[in-house]
Amino acid sequence: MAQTKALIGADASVRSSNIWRGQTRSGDWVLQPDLYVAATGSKLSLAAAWWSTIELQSLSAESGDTGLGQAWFGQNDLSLEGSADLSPLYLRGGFVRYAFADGAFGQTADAVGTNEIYLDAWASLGAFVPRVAVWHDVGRVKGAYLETGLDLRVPVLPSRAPIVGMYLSSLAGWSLGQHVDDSRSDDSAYFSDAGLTHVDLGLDIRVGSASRYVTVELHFLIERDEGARGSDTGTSGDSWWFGLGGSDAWILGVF
Amino acid sequence: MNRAASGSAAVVAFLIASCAPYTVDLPAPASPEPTPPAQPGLQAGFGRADITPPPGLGIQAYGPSGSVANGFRTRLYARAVFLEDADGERVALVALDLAHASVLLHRNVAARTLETGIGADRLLLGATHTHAGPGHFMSDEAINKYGPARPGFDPAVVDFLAERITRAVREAAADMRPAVVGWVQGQVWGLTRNRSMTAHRMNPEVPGRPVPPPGLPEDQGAIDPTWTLLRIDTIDTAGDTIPGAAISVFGFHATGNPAANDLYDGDVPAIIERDLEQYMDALAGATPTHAPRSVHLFFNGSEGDASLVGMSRSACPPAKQLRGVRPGGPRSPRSNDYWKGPSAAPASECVQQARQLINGAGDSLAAHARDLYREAGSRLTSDVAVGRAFRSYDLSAERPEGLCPEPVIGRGSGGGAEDGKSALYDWRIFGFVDIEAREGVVDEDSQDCQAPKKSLHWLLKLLVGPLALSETLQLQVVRVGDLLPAGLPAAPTAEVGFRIRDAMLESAAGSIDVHGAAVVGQSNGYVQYLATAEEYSVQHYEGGSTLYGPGSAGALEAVIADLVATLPDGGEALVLPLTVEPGKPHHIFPEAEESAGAGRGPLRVESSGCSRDTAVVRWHDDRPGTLLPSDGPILELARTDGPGGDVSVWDDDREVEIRALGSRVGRGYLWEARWTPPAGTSGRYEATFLRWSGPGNTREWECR
Repeated sequence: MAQTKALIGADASVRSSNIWRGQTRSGDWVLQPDLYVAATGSKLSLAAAWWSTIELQSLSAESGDTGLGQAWFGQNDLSLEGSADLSPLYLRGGFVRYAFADGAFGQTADAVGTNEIYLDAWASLGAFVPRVAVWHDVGRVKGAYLETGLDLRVPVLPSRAPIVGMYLSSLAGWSLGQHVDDSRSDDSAYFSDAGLTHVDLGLDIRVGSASRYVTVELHFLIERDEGARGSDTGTSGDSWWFGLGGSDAWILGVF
Repeated sequence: MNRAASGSAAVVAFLIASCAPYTVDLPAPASPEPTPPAQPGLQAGFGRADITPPPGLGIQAYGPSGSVANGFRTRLYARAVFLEDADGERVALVALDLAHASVLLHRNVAARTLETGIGADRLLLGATHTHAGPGHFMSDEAINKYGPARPGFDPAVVDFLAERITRAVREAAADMRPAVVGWVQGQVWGLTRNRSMTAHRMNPEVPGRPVPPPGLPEDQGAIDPTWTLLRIDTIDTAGDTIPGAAISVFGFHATGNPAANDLYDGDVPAIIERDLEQYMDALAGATPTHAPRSVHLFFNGSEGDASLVGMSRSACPPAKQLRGVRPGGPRSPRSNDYWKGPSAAPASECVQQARQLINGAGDSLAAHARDLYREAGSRLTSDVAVGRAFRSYDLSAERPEGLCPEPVIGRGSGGGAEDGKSALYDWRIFGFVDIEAREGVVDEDSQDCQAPKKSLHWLLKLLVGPLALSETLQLQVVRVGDLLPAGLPAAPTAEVGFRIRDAMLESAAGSIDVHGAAVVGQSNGYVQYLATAEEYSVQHYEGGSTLYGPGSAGALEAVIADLVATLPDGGEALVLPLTVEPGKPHHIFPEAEESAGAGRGPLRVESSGCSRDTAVVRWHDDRPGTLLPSDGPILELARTDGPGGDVSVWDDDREVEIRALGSRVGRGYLWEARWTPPAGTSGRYEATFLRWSGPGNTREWECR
């Protein structure tokens, strides 16, 4: 039955590192929760979300974005996102406000907070899911970043209860304008050079229902850009990261 | 105990409770001793109850590949016939437009009909096996989990169905009148086929089996063509007989609706039932406003390996697994996958094509039913003895000799039947672990009781969890004069049906005057399929779904024969208390709003018009759950000035589809009726909304 639902949803993932655009913002364990409210129809949805990264070892000298002695919350993002189901093509796009803690990128919070608009599109074509996403910074950095990916579904169960989605994933990040150049100093750029920033290869597993599921992620990160603004304790070079998460959503009302 | 220890104990207790199976103890309502009625001779009463649930339940029998119901095409009914002989021996036979009749339903209804003298032993509850009825009411977790499109057991569905089925029985009990009955058995060829010929050919040739007409394809000749029809007329005060009821037993899979169908529907049996009911009404001079006054109970017979010719649900493409989109932010986890089947939209070509096939097959079979009904009219008599024998088993404690200790699903079952392959068919986990979910997979080396069945792959079991299967069994024989219908909680193959009927007649010989037997499948419970030991040996779908091993059919045949042998002494009636494991309860049945109808403004019709060959009207009404289709007719549709003369229908018509489309904030719920009238759409239309009283409850429009 076609109907519009009001939802509240939450996700929480524990990850071995805080990886952002191929850069290891924290090499220690992080908790990354989010909370959103949304209105969803059969084809379209609109959501307002808060996402954060909490560095679980932030009181140690090894902390990353939070900086020594800072709060656990290394980053808080607020977003407004619309999405469309044009099966087998799917789109989402919106606006996101990045609010970093003091110490992120070795700078004050006011110095690094910024805004981006983004568009993310993928298609579910048999066992393959090609994807392209572009972010454009409309705040301090004023440049674009592109991600391209191709995932391969590994068949596990043709079952709706539980739904099992297992993918071998590959992703490449590209700086199209968020790197150091003549118009931008390394204070405002994220990457050292234009072009390929990193490659991420992974195994992603999701098990559960469409709205309530657990996520297991195992990824290998190949960094190709040293980063223009490093975290004070961020790592560089090729690395593994692992994540375990859960997602749930509750219907507030049906209209 | 300190606080920490107390907390640990609580956690352990919670974990144990969480892991423990959810069990339901069923009542054991044995019938009271019969008392001779006030009136001599055979008495009969008829009842009908609408059991169409509100939209929102998962459609039963296609499993996860199926659809959640958005509405209904033909309404679902429980039809009841109550018979009582001169000695007060009574039985109630109830046919349900459902996929199965669970032990949960049977016992719940029997507990409520005791006041009519009908306990579990005297209640035959059979299902037509429509693959477009609701789920969530079965007795075993595996079926509740993997039978309907939406998984889960819901006690509210059991209560809804049991309460309405009880109404049908009570209505029949209150309708008792002097009656006559007559029965015939005819052969119907060319409309059904054996879908599992490899297994069927394993059976030895047996002299005396029905011989198909020359030229019939082999698979169409390898079925049980026997149609048993029992006619029941009442006798009025003038001594005239009045047609009122018929009971049919004929075997085929009611799989006309494909998995993509999103409407409750009685499938082919619904067409057969209604046709004869309208015929009986015409003979009786009855002109009911909506549902027919007469009842035609259609019971499925030896349907295990029988399909309708030309009917294949593979007409719709299979569902696909997709990675979709979910609400959230840019760094929220990606969505889980989802399954997308062929469009359930009204215009879905494969679904509409299937409905035309249903109508065509139903009309062809209904013509045979009318012929048999007329023939039975020459055999009506009131000199009829009624009886029953009944035995129930808790198979975890005691089982008939020949049954294996544990129920096991075979790999031949996992992949689906030859003409209805499941999504699991030939599936390879991770792309390379072949779980052999297909017909014909056997374990030649096994010495197990279930040999040569190969159980479903352990990896599959690990991934989907335990598969709690039925461990209850209820077998029943009913006597109506010299006819013995046997209630079997399974889908027996054609050959199993022949053998059981032969055994019944042999057992009756010399002790009671019996000339015919019928096997009523899908009755009083569900232990899936029954294949002969020979068919079992090749582990096709039916053999793989024979849960208790190769000796199952033989064992049940022996019990049925034993029960027949007890009929001269009044019939055995062993109604044991049973415990079932239907799975943890879920809230699936839509709840009614407390303010139902309160403050409801005038009817608001949103739109009306025509689209291609269909007249469409949309209106705002109560939401599903508050609006229960089973509470009564929703609307009538009429066309005048159209081709072929005036025509009017109500929402039970096979050319009318009713759907709940969605909520409209502050304006109720949007519903839609689609009607495909005969010979095109041109004409003047009128929709009358029957739940709305007073002027203004109609909508008129014109299509050219």
